[in-house]
Amino acid sequence: MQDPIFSDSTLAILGRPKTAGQDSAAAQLEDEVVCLYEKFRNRLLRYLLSLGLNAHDGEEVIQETFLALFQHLKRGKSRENLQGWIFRVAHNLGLKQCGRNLRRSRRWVAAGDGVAEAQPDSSPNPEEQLVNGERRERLLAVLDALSEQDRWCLNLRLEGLRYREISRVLGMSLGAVSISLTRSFARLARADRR
Amino acid sequence: MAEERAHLSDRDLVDALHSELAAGAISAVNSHLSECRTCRDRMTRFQLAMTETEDVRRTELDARMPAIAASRALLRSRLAEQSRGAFDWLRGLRWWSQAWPRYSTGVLSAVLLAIAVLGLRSIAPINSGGNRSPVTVAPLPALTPGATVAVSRQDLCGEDSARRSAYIPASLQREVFREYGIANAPPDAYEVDYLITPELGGATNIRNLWPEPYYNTVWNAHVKDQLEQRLHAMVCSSEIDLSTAQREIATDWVSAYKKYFHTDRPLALFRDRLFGQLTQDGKLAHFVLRGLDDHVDPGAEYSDFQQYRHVLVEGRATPIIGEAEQRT
Repeated sequence: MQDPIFSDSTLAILGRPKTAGQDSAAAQLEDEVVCLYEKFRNRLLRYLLSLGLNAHDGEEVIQETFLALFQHLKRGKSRENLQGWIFRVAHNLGLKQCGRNLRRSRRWVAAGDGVAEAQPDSSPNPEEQLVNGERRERLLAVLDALSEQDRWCLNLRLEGLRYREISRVLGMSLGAVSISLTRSFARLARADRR
Repeated sequence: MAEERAHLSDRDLVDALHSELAAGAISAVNSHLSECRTCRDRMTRFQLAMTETEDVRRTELDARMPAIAASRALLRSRLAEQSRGAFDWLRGLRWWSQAWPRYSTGVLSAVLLAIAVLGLRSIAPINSGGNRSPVTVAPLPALTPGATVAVSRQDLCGEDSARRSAYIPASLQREVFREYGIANAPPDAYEVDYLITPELGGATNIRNLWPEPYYNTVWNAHVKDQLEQRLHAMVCSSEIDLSTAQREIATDWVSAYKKYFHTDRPLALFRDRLFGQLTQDGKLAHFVLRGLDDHVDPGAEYSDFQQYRHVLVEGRATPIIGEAEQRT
């Protein structure tokens, strides 16, 4: 009789019937991922909204990110700097979604359909604008005028990522992160002084 | 000029503000700051700009964030499904490993025969990108357990039953989205769907309604529509009784689909998940099998898709134009 393709030891790990231990390990991992979700969800969603996604697409990207995290951890891959990992995956998926939305909106425009879907959510109400006044508008105008990369850097920093983490998320050098943030803060400080 | 050079650079100040100075520079920067009022003022301005930007940004963005409860529940259900999926795969692997020595010749012959009959081209799309597990979005039983009205088989299958009203008032649809914590749902992303369709006696009641995604899931609204039609036909031809159909679709419609279509995957998977981009002259220039991450080269024309006369282009049925043999 031929040998089985997988050794008994491999099967012992991979193919054994589900046991109470396995149930509990899977449940533990699910709990851990949900805990991480609770910890990061708001920061990630803010970041994704700042990329230009609407809340629905942002939520979907975050779901995809944490399903990927679940697989990542289940395969026993590195747990080093999970924050950076989570933001990197969400950033990449977010950009992909932005691209889809852009293509879609271009097509609607070209077709003269007039459907203005996938736009960022509506702007704040008039009362809020009155309260926050000109300063707020100035800062928002500066944020809008930043280059895409400067805005990504700034938003990641404002969500608490360290330079090293930002450099990994965006694939930039540490020096480039520092220069980008300096450029942004210099503009914001100037706008704030006016 | 010499005095200007003596001041700290903006970059030093911003790095110091974020505690990101190189170890060797920390003491020099701190010492300069303690002696230079100009640089301290500049530092304060940076700090103020950061605090205010953070504040403005949060106010702006937090107002657009839906509550976490529904999305967390959805994640839990997706994670549980992934765990189950992995286990099924492992069980299959174990069986296959043990059975292989006995059945290898027969299995190989069957596979080769199947390839010869079907042709490699027709199965190519199935294999491509298939290493990613599909995601099912199920209604949350706590929110959508299903609800029915009292009807008989004759009511559902009689001549004047033709189309039982499936109309869901917009206010009720909004309530469903709110219940599931979905804000500003794009109109082509979800269908507020009946868990038990009216054609099977389902009630227009919030307990029988849920936001079902059209896309991003394999088991989506289009697939469920197929099951509904199938079950309705089976009920009307007395192949299955009404209460069984209602129970099965309400309990686990995906399992019901697999059972009644004798398949593990939606029959129209590729048609439903094929997206494309139109060029200005109306040709389909770019295919994307969304969810499977299988991007096809822009501009290329693929005979694999010839069997489908229409594809869904971001939710709209669009004819495939300019079919040709795939060039490799």
